[in-house]
Amino acid sequence: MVKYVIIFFLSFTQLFLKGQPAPASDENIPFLVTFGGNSVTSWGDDDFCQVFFCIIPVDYTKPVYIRIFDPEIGGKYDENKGAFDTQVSFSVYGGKSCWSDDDAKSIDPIGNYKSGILLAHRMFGEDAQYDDSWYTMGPFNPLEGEYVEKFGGRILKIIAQGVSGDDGNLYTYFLSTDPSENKEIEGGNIFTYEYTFRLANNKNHISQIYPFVDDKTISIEVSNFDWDNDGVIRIISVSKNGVLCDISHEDNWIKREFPINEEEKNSTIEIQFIKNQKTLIRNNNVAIVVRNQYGKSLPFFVIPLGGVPVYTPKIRMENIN
Amino acid sequence: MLRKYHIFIFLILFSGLLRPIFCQKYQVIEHTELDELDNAFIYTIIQNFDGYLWIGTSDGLYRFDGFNLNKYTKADSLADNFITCSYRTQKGLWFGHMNGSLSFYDGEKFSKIHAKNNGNSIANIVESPDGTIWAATFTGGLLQLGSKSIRKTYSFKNEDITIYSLCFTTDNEVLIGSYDGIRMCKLNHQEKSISILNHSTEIPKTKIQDIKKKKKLPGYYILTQDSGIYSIYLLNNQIRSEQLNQKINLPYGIQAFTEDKNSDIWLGTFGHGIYKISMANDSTAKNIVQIYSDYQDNATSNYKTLYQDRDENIWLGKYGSGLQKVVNQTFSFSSFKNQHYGTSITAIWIESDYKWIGTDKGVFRWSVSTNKQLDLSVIQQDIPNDEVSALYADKKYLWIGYIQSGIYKINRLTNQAIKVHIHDGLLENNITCISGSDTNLWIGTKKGLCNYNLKTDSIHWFTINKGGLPHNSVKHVFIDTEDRVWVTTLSNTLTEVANNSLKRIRISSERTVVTLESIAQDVNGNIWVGSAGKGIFLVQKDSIVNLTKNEGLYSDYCYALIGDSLGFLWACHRGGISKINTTDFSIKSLDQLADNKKIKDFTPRALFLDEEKKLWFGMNNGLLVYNPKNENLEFAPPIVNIKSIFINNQDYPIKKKIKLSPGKYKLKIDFIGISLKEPDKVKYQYRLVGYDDEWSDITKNNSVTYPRLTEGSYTFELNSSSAEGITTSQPKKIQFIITTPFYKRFYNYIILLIILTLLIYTYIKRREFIYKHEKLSLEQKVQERTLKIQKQKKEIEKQRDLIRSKNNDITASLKYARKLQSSIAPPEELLIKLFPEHFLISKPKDIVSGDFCWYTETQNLSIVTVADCTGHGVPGAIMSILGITSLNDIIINYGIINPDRVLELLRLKVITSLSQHSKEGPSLDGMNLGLCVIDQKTLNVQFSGAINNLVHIQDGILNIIKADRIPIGFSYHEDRPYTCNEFKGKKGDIIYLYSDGFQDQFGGAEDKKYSSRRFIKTLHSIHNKPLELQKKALEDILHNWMNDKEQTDDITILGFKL
Repeated sequence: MVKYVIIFFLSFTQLFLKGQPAPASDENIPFLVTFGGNSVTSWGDDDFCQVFFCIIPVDYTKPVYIRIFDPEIGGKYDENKGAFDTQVSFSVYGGKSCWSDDDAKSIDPIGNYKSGILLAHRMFGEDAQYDDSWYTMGPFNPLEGEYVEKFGGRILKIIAQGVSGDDGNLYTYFLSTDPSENKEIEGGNIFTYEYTFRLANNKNHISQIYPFVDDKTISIEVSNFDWDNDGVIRIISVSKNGVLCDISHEDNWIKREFPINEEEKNSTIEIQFIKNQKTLIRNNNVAIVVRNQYGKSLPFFVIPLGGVPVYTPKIRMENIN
Repeated sequence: MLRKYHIFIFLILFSGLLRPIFCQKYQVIEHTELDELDNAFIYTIIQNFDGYLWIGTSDGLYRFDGFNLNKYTKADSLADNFITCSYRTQKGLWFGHMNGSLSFYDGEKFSKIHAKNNGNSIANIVESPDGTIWAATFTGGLLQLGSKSIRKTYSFKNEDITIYSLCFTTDNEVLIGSYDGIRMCKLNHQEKSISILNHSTEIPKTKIQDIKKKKKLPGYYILTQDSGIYSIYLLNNQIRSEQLNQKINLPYGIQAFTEDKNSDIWLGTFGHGIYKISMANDSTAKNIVQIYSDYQDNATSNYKTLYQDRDENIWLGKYGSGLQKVVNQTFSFSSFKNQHYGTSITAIWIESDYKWIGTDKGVFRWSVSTNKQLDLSVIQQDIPNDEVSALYADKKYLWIGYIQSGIYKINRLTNQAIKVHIHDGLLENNITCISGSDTNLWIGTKKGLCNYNLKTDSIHWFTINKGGLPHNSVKHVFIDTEDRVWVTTLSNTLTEVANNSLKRIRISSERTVVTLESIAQDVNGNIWVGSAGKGIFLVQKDSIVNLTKNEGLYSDYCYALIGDSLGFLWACHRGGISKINTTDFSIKSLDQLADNKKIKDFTPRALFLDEEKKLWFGMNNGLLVYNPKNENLEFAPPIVNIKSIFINNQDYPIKKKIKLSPGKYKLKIDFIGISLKEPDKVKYQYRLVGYDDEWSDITKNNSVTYPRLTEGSYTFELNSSSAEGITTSQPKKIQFIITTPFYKRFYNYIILLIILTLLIYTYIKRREFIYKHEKLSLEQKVQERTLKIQKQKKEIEKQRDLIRSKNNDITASLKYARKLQSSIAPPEELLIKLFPEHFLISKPKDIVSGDFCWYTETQNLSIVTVADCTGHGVPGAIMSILGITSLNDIIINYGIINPDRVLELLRLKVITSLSQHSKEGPSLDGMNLGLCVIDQKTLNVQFSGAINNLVHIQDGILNIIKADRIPIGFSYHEDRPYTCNEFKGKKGDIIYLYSDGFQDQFGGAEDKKYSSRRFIKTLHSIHNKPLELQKKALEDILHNWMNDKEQTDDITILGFKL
């Protein structure tokens, strides 16, 4: 059932949404962030590793590219802790088990999370050549990805991992058909199970991400890390209108469980990050995970499956008498 | 300032001149027949020993024969459609798959090999020095492959290493490339493990794309993803390396490389096209050139794999956009059009450091070291802008011959240009060619040949008047390897200059005007001369060989001629070029280059053979360079394969020997000679031994049909030849045996003979048996019959005796009856009394007679009658007795003498006696008779006859007195009174009365009756004889007539004379 819903939504979104940047422009998230391996978690990255999965529709058989904006660590955007001395590797995996391995879907980089076949690997340090510019990994043969029926396509996995150093690497992805410019794959999508990103340095900006709730989910547990009291985190769905989440402080995880109504099943919910309107907290990095009642992480799709949820209020009618 | 400005203009004009000409030329071909691969991701390319090119993609395996592409998938027993790698062995082809399985192709079919590696993709397949085949999985270690199976699995001991590439250095040691550099590893066969000996620090810890053993030199090449290529060798398990790209700039994104047969390295990149690194003999990189890149679309310029086939084509496997082939261009052309220098290249001089180019408007030079044009502007003002007709360089000067401006020389150190004065005359300064040696410069002009002594600067002229030059207009001067000076002029005579004297060799004996043009020498030292209109002449000591268009020259007008280092002579024509093999005089002409550009006109004598053995041709629109290094002289013949066999229109499995049951077959064979260089130029020749007497004509058809083959042994033999005419050394053979039908086999004849013999023997024996059986049976029957016959004989004898006894009794009784009959009849004496002259023939058929002769005398009348009673023997006798007694009664007792009345009464008596009035059906018994009553006195004769006539001969005239046709007895027909015939006889008349016995007697030659007519004639013929003799005559006639035949009836004839 779930797979048909996902395939339907993916097909549906293909008609309207073609961009596969991660983070997507709708999410209003400026950068993903991964810190060097010698960094400390209090700077917002709990594991110095970020795993994203790219969905390539099954009928797309031309070469695809994963473009990384500002992959190096240094220069204009990245967060330095002293002199830039960080190395972050970007690895693309394909083949059987690159997604289906349980460790691959885990939010922690332990076990066989690098499952699959390493198709491309590139280590970045400080490199002005790629500062504020794009680096292209690939081309990749979509057939080298793992075919996942419920997504209606093949999956490539990209892992950004802080190897050494303590600086923060701020970057974005784009799943492209062209090596030199961002040309979206029609029907493609990108998702992750743990979102680690940089919030905008603008207190008026609201960022949002979109986990998908399948029909087996009866409750979700929203966890966030190192929110630093930067405003509020709330949930919007067809039946939740801004339900507030508990928010984490410096260098800690906090979680809260929410029930899932029938009408929320097989739909996307929106998690909004509303910055502190009184005090601007700069360079705030946050990690967020949504799990179901079994502790399994729910995927955040950069293109929300089925579209952005709209709260539909229920009007309760009471008998006058 | 003005000078600087000129320099700037010059550089502007000069920049870009002929830039491509100094690069090696390749052409990348997109095969239209490979459209199916247009969007394919090609991971591996390999050529098997049958010549087929196998292309492994992520969506199936393809086989290419130069024309057609066949796709193989899981439906064809491939283990998976995603092919990641391949390897060729003598036994077949191995293919690795993305899903971790392997496929093996043995030449006929695929076998699947499924590895228990949890779908770990096969990264590479290699062979260790001991011949063992190994497959590397990405993270599952190594698989030792057996024959179509996995023997063992080797895993890393303590850590998981991702394998991208590997290469065995010994049977047990292997270089393994991972994403973090290269490791020297050792295999532990007992533990089936891989231990790491050394993780190289000399090679960067980046992804190792490929490791290849050098083909000719010791050591290995390591291709890294980011850090270029390393040449390594091993020393005590330590890796020593040298980065190839220290001198050259490698492109980014190198994905694959291959070492070609010249040890040069080809690189395939993602996004940057194809590069070639030219390698020096010491395994260092000399330079790198980009062969091809699709600049228009980076996305289609991704090359994942490269492969050089046996024809030395480089095949490019693209990532997402199909397959391409790189063809080495032996010719490279660079067009030339410049405002300052014109459009024609008129003279060439190539040195190791400079390339001097003469044009229709001057001369320029090119630096080899910098591969850039050099500034000659400083001397441009000192040398004319005239057309350069010749260039020659010695150690100090470059000599320039101008078409109108005489000779100039440029000091190569100072770039100072000096006018060389050789003559004041106008035509003497029309330079046509320059050639030289260490001491002498030979300058051809339109007014003679000038010999310039380089040491003394002295000049000596040869003209028609001075030395006897055939013509003053010199076409070409050539100094051969033996320092002989050869000169052609506007004539048909070749001139050799020796010791200041001229030796003339008439090349063409024809009286028509023949102009000799260029002179050249081949590698064997032979002198060749080109002509305008008569082709090319080979000048030998004792003869001259002429090659013309008839022998294959592109044209009979040859404007330039030169020999190369490979033994070929090149003749330049308008619009084409001829390549002459100086060994066998075979000629190959071409009028267009590999890129289909048409060749235009060559400039007379503007060609040069440089130190690198390259040929430089000046043309009216540019410069053409032939590089013999690019010529693949190791021509390989096509590999011949049988594609399909159809027997009676049914596809048949291809085997070396095909045995068919007896019958008549239609055989169709499709075949192919695989030559991937120029597949469309492959030709075939074949024969079916046992059917064809001779080889077929050479053809491009790759199919043959034999419509009707019967029993016998046939061998199909097939040869093919490549575009270069190289033929397969051994023909491909397939034997067809159509079994002889059982009934046609030799031993079957023997068996048949034996069976036939046995059958005959059996038949004979059976017949014999039957005969014997029948014989026995017959003998038995004979015996039985004999016994029966004997018995019958006895019975018959008994009967015979009885019959004899009876017969005797009957005979006796008959004889007695005859006696009685005779006694009843009138006595013979009465007859003699009545007719003294008479005869009576009475020949009864039996003992007793049915005939009787009765006579009497009464009332002076002689009455006589001869009667024939019905029947003979006893019935006749009885009837006769009835007649006699009746006549006695009628005539004697009753005294009735009228013959008719007698007959009436006699008839009445007979009818009465025989009861012929009975109603039950009267019997027809009776008698016929003729009764004659003769008055002896008057000789008056009365006659009445019942059936029987009377013959009366009187005076020789025979008269037949007809009797009534009424028998004495019952008659159905007539019943009237008898007629009484009366006539007057006279003495001597003879009267005959007779029964019908004589005339009815059968006999004679035709066994007929004697007949009444003949009897009457007989009587008439004998009537003159005495009556006794008449009797004798009649008896003789009767005897002769009967001729031993049985007497038919009683015969009675009475003849008497009146």
